[in-house]
Amino acid sequence: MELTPAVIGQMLVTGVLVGSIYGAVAMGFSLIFGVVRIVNFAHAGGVVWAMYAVFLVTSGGVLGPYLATALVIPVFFGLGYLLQRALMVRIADMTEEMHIVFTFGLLLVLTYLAQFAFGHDVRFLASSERHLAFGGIVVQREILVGGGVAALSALGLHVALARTWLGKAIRASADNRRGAVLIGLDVRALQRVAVAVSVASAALAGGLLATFTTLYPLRAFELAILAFLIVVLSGIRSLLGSFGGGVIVGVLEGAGTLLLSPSLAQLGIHALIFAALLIRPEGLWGRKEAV
Amino acid sequence: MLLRVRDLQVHYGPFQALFGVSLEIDEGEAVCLLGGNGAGKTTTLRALMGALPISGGTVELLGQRVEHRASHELAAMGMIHVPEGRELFPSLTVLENLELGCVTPGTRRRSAETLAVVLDLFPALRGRRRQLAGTLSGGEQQMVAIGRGLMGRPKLLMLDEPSLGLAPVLVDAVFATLERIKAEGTTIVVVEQHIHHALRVCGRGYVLEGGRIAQEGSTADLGRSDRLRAAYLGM
Amino acid sequence: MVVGLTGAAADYGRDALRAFPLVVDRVNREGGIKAHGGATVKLHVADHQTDLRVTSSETERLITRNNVLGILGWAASGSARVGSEVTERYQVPAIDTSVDYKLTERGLKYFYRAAVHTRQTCDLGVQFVADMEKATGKAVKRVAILHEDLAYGTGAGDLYKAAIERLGRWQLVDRVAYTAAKLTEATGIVNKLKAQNVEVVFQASYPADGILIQRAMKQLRLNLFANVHPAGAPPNTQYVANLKDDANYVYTALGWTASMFEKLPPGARATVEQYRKVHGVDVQDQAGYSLSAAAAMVDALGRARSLDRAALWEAVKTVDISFGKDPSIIIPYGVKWDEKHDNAKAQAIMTQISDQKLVVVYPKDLAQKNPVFPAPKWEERA
Repeated sequence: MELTPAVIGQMLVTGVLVGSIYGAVAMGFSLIFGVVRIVNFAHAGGVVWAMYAVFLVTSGGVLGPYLATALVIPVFFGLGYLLQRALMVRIADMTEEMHIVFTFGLLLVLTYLAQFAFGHDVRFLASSERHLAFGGIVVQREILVGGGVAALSALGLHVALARTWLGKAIRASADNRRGAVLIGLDVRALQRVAVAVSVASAALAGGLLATFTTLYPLRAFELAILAFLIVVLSGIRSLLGSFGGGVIVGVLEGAGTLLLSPSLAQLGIHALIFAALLIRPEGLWGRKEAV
Repeated sequence: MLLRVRDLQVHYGPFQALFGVSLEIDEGEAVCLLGGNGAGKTTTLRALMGALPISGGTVELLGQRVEHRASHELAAMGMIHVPEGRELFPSLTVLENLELGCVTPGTRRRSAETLAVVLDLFPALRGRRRQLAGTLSGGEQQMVAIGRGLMGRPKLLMLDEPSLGLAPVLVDAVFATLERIKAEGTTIVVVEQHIHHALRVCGRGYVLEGGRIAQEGSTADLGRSDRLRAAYLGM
Repeated sequence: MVVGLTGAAADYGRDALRAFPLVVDRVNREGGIKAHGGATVKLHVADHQTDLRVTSSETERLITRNNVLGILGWAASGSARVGSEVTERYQVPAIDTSVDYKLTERGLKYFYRAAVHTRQTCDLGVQFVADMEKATGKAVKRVAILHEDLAYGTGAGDLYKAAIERLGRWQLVDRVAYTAAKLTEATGIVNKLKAQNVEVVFQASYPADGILIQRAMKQLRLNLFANVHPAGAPPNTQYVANLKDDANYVYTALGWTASMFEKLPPGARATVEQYRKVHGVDVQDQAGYSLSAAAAMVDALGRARSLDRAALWEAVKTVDISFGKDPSIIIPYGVKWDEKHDNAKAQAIMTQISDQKLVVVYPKDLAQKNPVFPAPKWEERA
């Protein structure tokens, strides 16, 4: 194999961009875990439903995928708000195992509802057919835009959490929930906002994914595992951490595909879950005791 | 009357913790709640703050019945809690911790102004604004906790054991600060083990025993009370 | 008949359920089995649910409760593997329509397969490229195999590798396996192929991943002489529906495609039309194989010396029916068993996508167009 700069550059650029979008998927997953302490596997179901929503809106022929995504995001924000209000708050006091049973069940329901509504067929949005080519590297416009928007939204969300009072309050209620209640923060309202933002971020990630990848209901399971893996890897410390974890996974997948084999790379990424849990079990679960 | 509590009752499951506690606190007063471990001081404070369900009795704040309001609603009315154990946000900075004390939009608009006052009160925090709260010493953490309470511009500041775990010299500093806060007109309720300090700052006090008010009166009277000395100070 | 009417293989099972009765009803309408006094043929239907345990129990139930003489099935390779063990145990002749080449490598005595199988489609792919190389003078040097990593793709990969090694002329530079369900985008895979300067890719994919890979090939301008599939993604309607003109020039070897209709003998053409009229859908390859299997079974029933399983088995062994004579046979060129009990007369055909349609390019007598080899470069396509 000739590992020319173009070949390696192609791998890196695509890996980083696709990884950014993985990061956007993981970001919302990590936000919910951080604030509500629920491992929300259903997050990936939200991503896939957003993909279908974008697909349906664009099939009307009036709106392009990006406008459709912009339309779907506020709807998902509202759905997330209702989800927290109606469902999540009921399971908040249950054990972690019950959370997993519940959210995984919700993921199954969302997936099978998608199968029922849209069938097993593979769907695909029409591509713009535009590419950016430089130095022998070719990047599809949708992947470039998707990676860029994902990175900007991760940065935007990070800044919002770091700088605004609401963002600080959300972080505070994740950091010390009892303290937040005692000093008079409306923690339930903050949680509703956080879950709504998380579900809206699922819509964004779904919209971006829909522009360049194939869509079928069972993709939800793959995305759930991917998000879980990234969050375990990045130790759930911060949103930017999850985003960075996504980029790392994207590049690892690209490098593994190029140098080993796609099957091995995909398997290897999943094997990392176990490695990560062995090396730093505190990554996902330990934080509860730490506070 | 700023706060009027009548016959407050609280249960933890089947166990009753408070058996009809009544308190009255006027504007500008500093009042202490005294009592041994398990007497019900913290329970009283948390129940008043809406952090524990109240099973009987009434609470009036500024003439309004508030016994079933949530903590954030009470905080918005100006009843602010500085909880036992400080309960800071350890992975947030000192400045962020302070800012989070501004629980209402109104206090957030004036946060810069209030912050200046708080930093005057706790000059030691000035240089540590960007430091993570979890890395501070116990005394500094207590300053942040009180400062965070003040950021909410309290009408009634309720402090739960502010001296807990602090070296004696720091306890002095904390109570010196409380005196200044009181002097500026903020009403204070303080739960305290350091009875001498509490009696110095506060004009009146209540002594709790087994979830009931055992004694109340001016701190001067309480200071002379044999019963208090016997039951509480072990003298 | 035992087929999957529910579960993952339900599409194939339903095609079989449409095709088997067509043959049986025709025989009964025309007076039954004449050699046995006009006995009518009764078709018992069982659903294996694409579930291996159900496959065993349902197959056994038909044999022991319904006392069937022979089994038609299973229209799914996994089910055929376990179902055929049951028919073997009860010594019941079974004619199957599944495509996995490994099914007939077990030396079963009572198991026969009417379908065009994966060894045929893979071998044809390699042989076809070799023929085109000679015909056009465009020498192929570097080839690669690209396949999904479940049974279908891995099996096809093995077969391609064996065929390429047998041919011994090309350098097999890489064999790339990927997990279809985990593929988000395929430029990584295509980049890898491009880095190795391959000229021909033998590819076994499902529709979703096949679409992603083909798109990435266009995007990265991976210009191939030929991209050859063993059935797989290209015949699936979603493939062309999603890729439109970017699907053009892709080759796929298969047993049946609707565009063969015009080249069929009159009797077979009438059968296809009747199928379409009765069921309201086009014939798919599984339906074609099912017609062949049912025709073979009916033929054996007509020649069996008596109506018992042993006599039927003897008759099944010597089935020899031909395209053009038996109207039920629409897959060229008929049914006759080789030593492995594969259908020696079933012939894989090579198709190429042309103007978004599968067009037969081989064999000559069925071809509608000449193959385009090498495929035009992406930059030169309109």
